[in-house]
Amino acid sequence: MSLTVYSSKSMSSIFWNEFTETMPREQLDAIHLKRIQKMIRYAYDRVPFYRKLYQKAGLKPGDIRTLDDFNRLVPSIDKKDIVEAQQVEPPWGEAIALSEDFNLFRFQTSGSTGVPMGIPVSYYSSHHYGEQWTYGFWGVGIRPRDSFYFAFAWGTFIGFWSAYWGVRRLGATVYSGGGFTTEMRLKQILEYEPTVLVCTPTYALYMAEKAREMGIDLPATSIKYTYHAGEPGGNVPATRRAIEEAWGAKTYELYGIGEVGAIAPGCPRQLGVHLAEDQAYATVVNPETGAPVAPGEVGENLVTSHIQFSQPLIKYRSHDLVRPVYDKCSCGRTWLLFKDGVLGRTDHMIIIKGTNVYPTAIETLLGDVSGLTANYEIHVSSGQLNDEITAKVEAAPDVSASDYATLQRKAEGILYDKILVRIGVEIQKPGALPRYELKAKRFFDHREKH
Amino acid sequence: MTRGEIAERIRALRREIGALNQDPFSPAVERSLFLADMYMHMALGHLGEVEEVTPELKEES
Repeated sequence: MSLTVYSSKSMSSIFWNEFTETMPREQLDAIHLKRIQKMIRYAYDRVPFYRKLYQKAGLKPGDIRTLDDFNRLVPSIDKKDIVEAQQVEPPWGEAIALSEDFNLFRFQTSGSTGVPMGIPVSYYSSHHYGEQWTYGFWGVGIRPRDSFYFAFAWGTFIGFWSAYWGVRRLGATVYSGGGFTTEMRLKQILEYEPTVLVCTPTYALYMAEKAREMGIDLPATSIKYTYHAGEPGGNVPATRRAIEEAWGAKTYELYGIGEVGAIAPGCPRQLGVHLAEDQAYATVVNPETGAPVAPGEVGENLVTSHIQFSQPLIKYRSHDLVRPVYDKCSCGRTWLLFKDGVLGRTDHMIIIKGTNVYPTAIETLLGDVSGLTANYEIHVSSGQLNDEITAKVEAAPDVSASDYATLQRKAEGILYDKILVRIGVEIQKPGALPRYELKAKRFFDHREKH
Repeated sequence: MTRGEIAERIRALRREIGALNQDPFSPAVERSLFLADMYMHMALGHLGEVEEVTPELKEES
């Protein structure tokens, strides 16, 4: 008799939990409604912030009888609302549902958009955060015999902690890259022979640069998959292609929101990310009017967590722009697809002559220009009539500086042809722009604030 | 076994564990049984069942 972690029946499944991953929309929505009703009652009873919010809106938990009621009647909340509720009596104030006895982990947001928000995670929540990754790992063919290298410092960024919980849930091996330099991490990958690399997409590309300097042939290493979170990139075709070519691996991305969960693992067909509908519900709306957008149209993801038990987040403004597709995906999942992942941020929206320009669209187009790299910055400033955009992009190491002017004209021409908006391009020497281990700062807004 | 039958068996097990933990043998055994209950709550979710929001909360008898 052989010893195994999973039965042969489970090992042959291409889904982690086929029953819910392929469930018809009507059934999924019926379950969402029940979970939302329970979560609203839970939040109303246990969290002063929600009780006050709903009382002010004249809303009682029993008023939510349909998903349409939920989408229409329940007020959305923003990060600043939760931060203010926490500030009533730090660290958790009026935003907390569980006492300290239950909050086993304490993280915080990066503070890239203001005051950091504290993120309490209960023991049970941590299992669900991890499970969302496991859906993604299993879906792309990662199994318990795979092993994971975490090129991550194990700080207060919850994203890769939750990935670790997901690996534990899967039952695979973990190698920690915490506390090591990039060079040491690359040497450990050669020594330990992990099959999965977990890090931000930016850092995967930085590791590839270092590997070239060290004479390491990454495609010849044991890495078969790279799995990313923390910032868009794994779903930006040019960036994904650059990572896949550099590592000789398949590249996937999970879309997570630290305070809400690792909500959407990557589609195995690389079409975007699928909302883990066991654990979250999404209402996608026009960020200016709040009205739901039609399927296939870009809107803001208002997310409701079914699994944030410590600090419930209900109809929470993510400020992430997504394109929702509800049709059954070619990968077999019925779970909502955010096509091409997160397309941008509502607070990074650039509108020029009535045209929405998404930073990830600029990234995609620049990535298709031969001679440019995925290291770029987008700077937006106020012009006389419209916002003005300049993209700073590093040239590839093999491009001569004498060719930069030609490269600039070529890139500007491609951007104008596709977006129909003039975007200035400044070619930078290789290594001129900063490198990041976690979220890269790509977007610089110099516009006057009104 | 059907999905519904599996769910019912799990619910029965949860009731059994709840009874066992009314008078725990030790902190170690109580915690282990608690975790077993937590995973069963998770499994019910995978089966499409909607139970209490979190199994972490229980009143002391």
